[in-house]
Parts: sequence; structure tokens; C-alpha cells
Amino acid sequence: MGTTAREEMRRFWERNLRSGRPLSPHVSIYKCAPCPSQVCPCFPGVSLFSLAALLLPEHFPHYLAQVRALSLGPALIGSAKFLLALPVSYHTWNGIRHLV
Amino acid sequence: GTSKAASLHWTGERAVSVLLLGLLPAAYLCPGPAVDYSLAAALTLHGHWGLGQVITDYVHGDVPIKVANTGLYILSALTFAGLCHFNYHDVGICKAVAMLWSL
Repeated sequence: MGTTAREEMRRFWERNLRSGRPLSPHVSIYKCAPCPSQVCPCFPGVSLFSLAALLLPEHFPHYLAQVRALSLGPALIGSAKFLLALPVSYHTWNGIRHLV
Repeated sequence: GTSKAASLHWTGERAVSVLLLGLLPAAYLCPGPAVDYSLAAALTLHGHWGLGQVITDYVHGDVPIKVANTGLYILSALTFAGLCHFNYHDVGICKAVAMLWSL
């Protein structure tokens, strides 16, 4: 009988690791921010938000009021919004490109 | 015969991605609990499958793969629970983004 898929996978990995090739898909091909098919900072962000929702005692409007009370100024608020929107937009556009 | 599991998974991934894309204008135009919970489900599933692919690409060896996937399941379960909790007890995802952006 022929080899099983698992056996072939094992052989593939043994030979590959032995040849000492670099990690692939290689992370350096992702330029500014990672593209959607690989590492994305979005999901950890969503998870952090979700864990905060579970763990923090107060409700969202309360924390929002606290941030407002800090009076950070439009420049800082604007750049914070940009930093939040940037990975989501980049990921979304790349995702569309990937889907098409 | 051969198993269609992998190709079904691939199709499922694309389907959820398209669904999530459609939910974005929905969240803007008609916010509410239906969109909130759909977003919670679609976001969690999309992220779970996405990170699963990252693990498949970069993690090797039987035990590390199992450990990583277990951790991923836990993370996704917590994320979904947290998002639903937020939708139920707090203002909900659509409203939260709207409030955040009006800051």
C-alpha cells in the first residue's frame, strides 16, 4: 500500500527542516502592515475589547465619559481614531482584493 | 472517497468574510441587536478561522499545533462571550462604535 498523508507530511517536514530553509510564508514579505491572509492586529484588538467587556465593572458610556473628561484635544483624539481605523481599513481592503 | 472538508472550510471562510463585509454598511445604516449579534458571531468566526490559518502556516510539530489550536479555541470562545455580554448588558457594538467616533 502507498504511504499515508500523515507519513508524507512527516517526511516533507523532516526534509525541509533538515535543509535549514527560512520560515515560510516569510514574514518580511509583508511590508507596512500585514495583509489579511496572514497575521493581523485586528483580532487581538477585538479580543482585548471583548475581555475588557467581560472583566471591567463599569459600562461603556462610563469609560467613554472618563476619556472625554481627560480633554485630550482634537489632535490626539483624531490620531487615536486614525490608529484604530487604520488596521481595520487596511485589512478590509486587502480582504476585498483577496476575495475578488 | 476523498473528504470535502478542506474545500468546504475554504468556501466557509470566504462566505463569512463576505457576510462580515456586508455587516459593515448594515451596522452603519440600521444599527440594532440583530446586527450586533451577527457582528459578534461573524467577527469571532472570521478571526478564529483567520488565526487558525496563521497557526497552520507557522506552527509545526504535533504538540505545538495542538497547544496553539486549544489556546485559539479558548480565545475565540472568550471573545464571543465578551462580545455577546457587551451586546446584552451594555450599549452594543454598533452604538459603541458610533459613540466612540463622536468623541
